[in-house]
Amino acid sequence: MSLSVIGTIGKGTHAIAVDLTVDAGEVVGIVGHNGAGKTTLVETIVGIVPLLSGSLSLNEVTWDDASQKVWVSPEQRRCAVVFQDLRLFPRMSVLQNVMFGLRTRGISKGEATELAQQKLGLVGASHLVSRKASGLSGGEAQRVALARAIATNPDVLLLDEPLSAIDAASREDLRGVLSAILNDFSGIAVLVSHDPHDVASLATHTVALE
Amino acid sequence: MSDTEVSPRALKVSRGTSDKVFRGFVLAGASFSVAVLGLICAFLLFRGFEIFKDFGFSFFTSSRWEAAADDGSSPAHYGVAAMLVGSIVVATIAVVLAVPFAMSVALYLEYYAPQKLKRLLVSLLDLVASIPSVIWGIWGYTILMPHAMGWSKTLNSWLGWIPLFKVPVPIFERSPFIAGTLLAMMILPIITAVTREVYSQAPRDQIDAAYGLGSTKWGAIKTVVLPFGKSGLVGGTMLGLGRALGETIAVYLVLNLVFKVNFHILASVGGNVASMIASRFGEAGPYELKALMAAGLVLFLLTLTVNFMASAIVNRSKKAA
Repeated sequence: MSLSVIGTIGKGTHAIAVDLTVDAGEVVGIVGHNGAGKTTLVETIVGIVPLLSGSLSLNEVTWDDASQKVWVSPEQRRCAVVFQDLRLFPRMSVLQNVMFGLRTRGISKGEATELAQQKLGLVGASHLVSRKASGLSGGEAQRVALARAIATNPDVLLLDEPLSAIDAASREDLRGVLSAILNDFSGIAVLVSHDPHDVASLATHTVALE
Repeated sequence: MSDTEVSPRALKVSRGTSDKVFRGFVLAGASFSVAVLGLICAFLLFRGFEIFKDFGFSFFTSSRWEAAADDGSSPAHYGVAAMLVGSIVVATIAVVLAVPFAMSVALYLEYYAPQKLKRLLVSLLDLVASIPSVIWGIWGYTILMPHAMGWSKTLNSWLGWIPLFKVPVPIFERSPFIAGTLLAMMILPIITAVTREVYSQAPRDQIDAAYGLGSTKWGAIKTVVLPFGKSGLVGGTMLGLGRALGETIAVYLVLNLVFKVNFHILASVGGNVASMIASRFGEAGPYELKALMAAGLVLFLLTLTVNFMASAIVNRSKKAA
């Protein structure tokens, strides 16, 4: 399995050239200054923002190609994202949040519940199952967002600053959890981070966006 | 650190002249609206008080509306029950029919329609909202009613075993169903406009989060937009309900006003307080005029109650969110 993004990404008039190829089992660390287009790259891969030019494909299957007018919708891409600002659904419980991606992929309620509980356990958030997402602390929400993303066992896991906005002790703890998850993950992982330590400890190689 | 309860310190704010003038101006505007509302209420109560005194609670429970005989053989009797129930029945039909359409139109305009088509449709809806009631009434009578009678017959033949759709006499003209259908079309633009406005403010990042987890567009709408827009939908619906309750001339043209409480919505028997006031006003004597004022007050209070309920529901759903 191989993900390839070759072309320009961007919103509005700000275009950023990208040449990225990632294979299964790899964790590519994306670094760059503010406004370099790290989050836009994540949004482009998942299908929220279209490519400006060039091509985006997984396993030779084109997901987005402006010149050939090909664009595959997000639900067909088998991606999952941990957003920088987490974006948990505030009206839902923690369990419902984690079940969301599973249910949307047609998994039965019973199986989704079981899988969601299992993933929450993996990130050390079993005790939060029935809590409402809007009432979680930053660290708790970060764990739930991570569980929500890995629950669907995606082909492409996109982590946009997954360890930001938490205190140092929780960060260290969660980095360990994330490292274990990424070691077991057989798909393609894209890690966006400002923190060189995160990238060094979690990514297999690094790409800088200018 | 102690756990004693603290209350915020009271602050004395010194405002500038322009701030004071503006504050006074908006306060005057707000007070004027409340004063007008109070004056209308007081006027109707003053003019209709005698009726409430003479008939008491039976004014609300009786369906008879009879002026006194000229020879004095029978006294006047006034009651708004049939018209009040009729108003509620017709308005409810309108809301039940309009809300699903309004939701669909709002979602289509906001999340599916191409920009050019969206602009065109929004302008068209605004245009529809500005059509005068009398035009709606004429259109309802000449165009809608012949079709709606056919729908009524179909409903009656399939669902006639349900009391709501039963027709004691097979006459389908000028029924609450037809009036409700016409009102549904009249209130559709206002419900759509309010709902669309709220749907457009649904958090984009939450919608993207749904996409980021492999959701379809409908999945994102169901998860983010609909729960977010619940208060707007309720608010828009209540505004539409308020208009439907108070609609006069269009209903007058397509509804057979009969002073009898009727829940058979396909039957040619209906009631509407506003239309009744319009139909009786010209030929009413001084005492009946007072009864019409009392009926007006009842309608006014009913509409006011609906609006208060709307505010309460909207506030409650905002808090729940």
